[in-house]
Amino acid sequence: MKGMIYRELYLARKNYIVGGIAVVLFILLGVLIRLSLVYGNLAELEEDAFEFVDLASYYAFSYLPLVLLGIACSSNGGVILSDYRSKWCLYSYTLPMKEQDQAMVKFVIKVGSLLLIFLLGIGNLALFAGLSGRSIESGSMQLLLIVTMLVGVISAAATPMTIRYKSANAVIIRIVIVVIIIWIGLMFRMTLLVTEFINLNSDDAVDLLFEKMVEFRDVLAMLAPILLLLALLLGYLATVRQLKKREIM
Amino acid sequence: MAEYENAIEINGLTVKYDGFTLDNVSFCVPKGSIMGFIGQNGAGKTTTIKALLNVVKRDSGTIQMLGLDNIADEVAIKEQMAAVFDELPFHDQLTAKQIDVILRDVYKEWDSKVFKAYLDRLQLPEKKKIGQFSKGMKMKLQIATALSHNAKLLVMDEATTGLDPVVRNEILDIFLEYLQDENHSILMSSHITTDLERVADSVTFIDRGRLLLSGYKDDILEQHGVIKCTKANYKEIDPADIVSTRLTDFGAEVMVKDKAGCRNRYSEMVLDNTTLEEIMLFYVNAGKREWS
Repeated sequence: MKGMIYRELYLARKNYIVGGIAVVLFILLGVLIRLSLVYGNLAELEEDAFEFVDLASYYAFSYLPLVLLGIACSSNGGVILSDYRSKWCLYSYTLPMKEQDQAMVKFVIKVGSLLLIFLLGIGNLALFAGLSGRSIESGSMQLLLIVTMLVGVISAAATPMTIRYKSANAVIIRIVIVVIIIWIGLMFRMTLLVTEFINLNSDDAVDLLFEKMVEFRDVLAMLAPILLLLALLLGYLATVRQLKKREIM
Repeated sequence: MAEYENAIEINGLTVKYDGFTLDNVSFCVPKGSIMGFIGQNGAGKTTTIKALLNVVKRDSGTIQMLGLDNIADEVAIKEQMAAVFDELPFHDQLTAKQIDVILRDVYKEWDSKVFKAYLDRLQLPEKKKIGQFSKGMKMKLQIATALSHNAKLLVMDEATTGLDPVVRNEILDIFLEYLQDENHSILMSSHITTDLERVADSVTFIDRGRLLLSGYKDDILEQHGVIKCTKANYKEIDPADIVSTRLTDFGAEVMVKDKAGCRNRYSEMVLDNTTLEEIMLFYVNAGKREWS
């Protein structure tokens, strides 16, 4: 399996390099914004605007690089599609490797990438916490865990879908549809909360909303490792199933 | 590995696609020999090979390779065999050195020294990206890969198509060398019949998913001949002797399947030896009886 892992990593190296460069540039932008908030012209903003930019940039630059890196590194879609376009896919079925081994190669890379992303995410979080004068709270780590889980779930689903549909667009469309459905579900859940807010003044309403969001975050963070493991397991089994169909373009 | 007489045994193989059926194909590749698998484009050669490699699901029939069942013992078989296709299956960005790194972990008997020796012999650079190789170099690399893990069976699908005569000759010499070991066997599909006339021990003809003919090459060539006569004389030939007839402006060319008997029966007519290519052409048109 080591040889096959080497093959996939080598063929995907451009993704890692381009993704890495994009993330570094993005983080650099975040650092410049943070510095401007302290020493530059953003420091001269009015209080409300300053607070908004401070909070938004802190959260955006703490977590978005993780998402970008996750998309670049944990998806094997590019390699899978080029395997189908070349004769590699046919050739791989002549090798003494079961589909379980072929799928395991892809998921070992995925798990490795997610671990790396999580560790880099901690470093990134520490950087922006330091730049914004904040400490790393348990809430921040929980959000990091949730973001890693979301990246992992999407990545785990994308691999068998890419093998099934052999088209990046088909996979993206389906993932977007599922995300929209989940988003609609969340919005529906939010509207059910309206009755709780309706008799409150604006400050109390904001406090209640924040409380609900923290509750949701806590529950999701607790479930994140289980959801991630489940997604990886189901993704692996679905990948084996797709590989066993032996569909070659 | 089990003891076996035939490297490949295919019995009653049927594979159904939309618009094409590989219908009840049966043939054997004896151990220690090369079988030429001949047919025009779309005849079913690649489908047969894919069924052999368990890449397509068969609807019926059995396949044994190296004495083992090709589904139940798939991994064990694939340790001992190699497939060679008409195009190199490795990504253009890889080098021969990287292929060595990848495959030495896949095959238990992969031998990097043997691989490197083949690279040197075939003058293939180790560190150059495969995308920069010529077509001939890519095929040589595939063959070097196929021969570097002590494979007992090579399955080749149109491996010499598109190569120049010098490279084809070099590759065919390697095959003949490979067969010096009587435990080695080759199934080679091709429509370049001259290559198969040079190296094959036995041949199987296939057309439109059906087996036309299978047997030892020398026997088939000995049994078949082409009578060249006038259109008037052609009518005197017993239809039971005729495979099919090509009518030309100058007369008729009649392929017969009992050359020795026909030489006696039609002694006044010219009876020439034939080639595998002619046999393929005449058998493919056998349904028409007369064609031009």
